[in-house]
Amino acid sequence: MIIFDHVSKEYKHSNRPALNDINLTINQGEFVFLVGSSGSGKSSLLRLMVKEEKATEGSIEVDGINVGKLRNRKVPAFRRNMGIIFQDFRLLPTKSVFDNVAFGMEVIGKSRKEIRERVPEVLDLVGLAGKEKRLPTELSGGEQQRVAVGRAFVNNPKLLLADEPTGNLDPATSVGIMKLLDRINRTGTTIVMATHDVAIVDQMRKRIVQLDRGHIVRDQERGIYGEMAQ
Amino acid sequence: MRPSFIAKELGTGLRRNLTMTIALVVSVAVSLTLFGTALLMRTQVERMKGYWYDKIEVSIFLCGPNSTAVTCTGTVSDEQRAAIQAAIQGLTPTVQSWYYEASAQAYERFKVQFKGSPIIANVSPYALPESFRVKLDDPNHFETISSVVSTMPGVETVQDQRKLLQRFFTILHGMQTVALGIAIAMLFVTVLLVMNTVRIAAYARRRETSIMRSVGASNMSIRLPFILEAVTAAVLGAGVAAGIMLGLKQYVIDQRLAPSMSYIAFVTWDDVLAVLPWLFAAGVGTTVLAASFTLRRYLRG
Ligand SMILES: Nc1ncnc2c1ncn2[C@@H]1O[C@H](COP(=O)(O)OP(=O)(O)OP(=O)(O)O)[C@@H](O)[C@H]1O
Ligand SMILES: [Mg+2]
Repeated sequence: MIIFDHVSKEYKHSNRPALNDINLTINQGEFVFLVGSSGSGKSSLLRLMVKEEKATEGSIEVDGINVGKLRNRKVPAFRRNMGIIFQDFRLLPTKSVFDNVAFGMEVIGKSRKEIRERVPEVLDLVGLAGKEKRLPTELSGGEQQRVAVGRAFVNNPKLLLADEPTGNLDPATSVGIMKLLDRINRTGTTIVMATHDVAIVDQMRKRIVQLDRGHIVRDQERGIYGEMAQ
Repeated sequence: MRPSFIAKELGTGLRRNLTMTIALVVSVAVSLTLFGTALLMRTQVERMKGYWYDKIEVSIFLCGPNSTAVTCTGTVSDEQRAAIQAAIQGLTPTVQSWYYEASAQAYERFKVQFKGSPIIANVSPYALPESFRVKLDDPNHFETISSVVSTMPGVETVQDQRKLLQRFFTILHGMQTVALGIAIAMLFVTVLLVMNTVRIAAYARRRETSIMRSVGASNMSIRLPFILEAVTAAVLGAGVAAGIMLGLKQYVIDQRLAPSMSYIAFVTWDDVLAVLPWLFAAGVGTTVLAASFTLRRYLRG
C-alpha cells in the first residue's frame, strides 16, 4: 500500500533534514502508529504521502502510484482515495454536521441522491445520528472530531491518515475516537496515525513506527510505546 | 460539483463579502460607464464628421470694388468671371457640384442667418462679395481646386470651411483621448480592486479551500466559486453601466440636447446598443483574468 524507499526531506531554511533516509513499507489494511518526540518528523511523513510536500530524495509509492512523479493536475484525483484527519478538526463553522460530512462528497461531484444515502450511514457509524443539524460550535471536541472522521471516511477511502487526532481531546473521549478508527480499520481501510498519546498506543497494541530526528529508530508489531520511554 | 451546490456557495460567498461585493459592483459600473462613454464619443465624432463634411463647401470669393488682393483690379469683370467658371467646370470630377451666388443672394442669406440681430442694419446689400460655391467629391481635395483658382485674376480669396471644422475636431479628438485614458485608468483600478477582493475572499476561506484540497477537489472546482463571485459582481456592474448609458441616451441626448441642437447628428440608439456587448465583454473579461491571476498566486495547491 505504502512504500518509502530511501526518502529524505529537507525543508528550505532548515539546517537538518526533517526526514533522513526513510525506508518503510505499510501493507493494505494495516493500522500503524507514528510516534516520536515533537519535531521528529511525523507530520512531515504524512504530508509526503498526500503530496502536500515533495521528497528531496528517494521515492514514495502510495496505492501503486509514484507520488513524486505524480503530475500536479492528478493530485486531486489521487487524494480522493484517502481521508485526512487533523488535530484541530478543520470543520466548516457555518455548515451543519450533515453538510460538513456531505462537503467531502459535494466537492468531488457526487449526486444529491448518493449524498442523501451515504451521509446518514456515516453519521451513524461515527455515532452522531440525531445531531446532523447542529453547527460545529454546538458540539463537544470529541463530537467535532467524529464529524471530521466522518468527512474523511465518507468517500470510502483506502487510506486514512490522521495527524494527532486525539491531541485536543481528554483520555475518555480519545478512547471513543480510537474505537471508531479501529472499526474503520476493520472495514479494510489502512490507517496511519501520528500521535504523542502513550496510553492510547499502549492500549491498542498495533504496529508502531518510531521516529527520532528524522530517522526510524523502531518498527514493531503490536508494540508498546511506554517501553521506549524508559 | 452540482450546479445547485455551486449556486448556494456563490450566494454565501457574495453575502459574506457584501461590502466588498458592493464596492466591486460600483467600481465596475463606474469604470464601464466611462469606458462605454469613451467608445460612444468615438462614434459621435465620426457621425459629426460625416454630417459636417457632407455640408462643406469651398467658397471662391470674387473681387468687389474695395478688394485689395493682388489678383484684384476693381470689381471682377465678366470675362474674369467666365474664366473662373470655366476653370471650376474643368475640374470635374473633383468638383462635384457648384453654384454662383451674387451679392444680392449673399445678402438674403445673411439676413436669414442673422435674423433679429442689429448687425444687419450695418451691412449694405452690396458689401457682401459675390462667390462661387463649390462642393468637392472629398473635402480633403481642397488643394486641387485652390492651386488652380486662387491665383486667377478676379479671385479675392478661396476659403476652406474644412479648416474651421478641423480645429473643432482636433478639440473633440483630444477630449476623446482623455476620456479613453480615464476609462482605461478606471478599468485598471477595477482590476486592482478585483484582485484585492479575491485575495481577501481567498484568505477568509483558506479553511474551506484547504479542506477541499484534502478531500481531493480539483483546482478548477476550488477556484470556480471565487471566479463566479467576481464575475457575478462584474455582470451586475456592467448591467448598471448599461442602464446608465441607455438613460443618458434617453434623457440627456434625446430629450435635452437633440431638440435644441438640431445641427448636430447625435449617436443613434443602434450606436448605443452596439457598445453594450463590449461593456459586458470588457467587464467579465478583465474580471476573470484578474481573478484567475490572483488565485494562481494565493490558492496554490
Ligand atoms: N514547513 C516547514 N518549513 C521548514 N521546516 C519545517 C516545516 N515543517 C516542519 N519543519 C521542520 O521539520 C522537522 C519535523 O517537523 P514535523 O512537523 O514533521 O514534526 P512532528 O514530528 O510532526 O512534530 P510534532 O509532534 O510537534 O507535530 C522539525 O524540525 C520542523 O521544524
Ligand atoms: Mg506534527
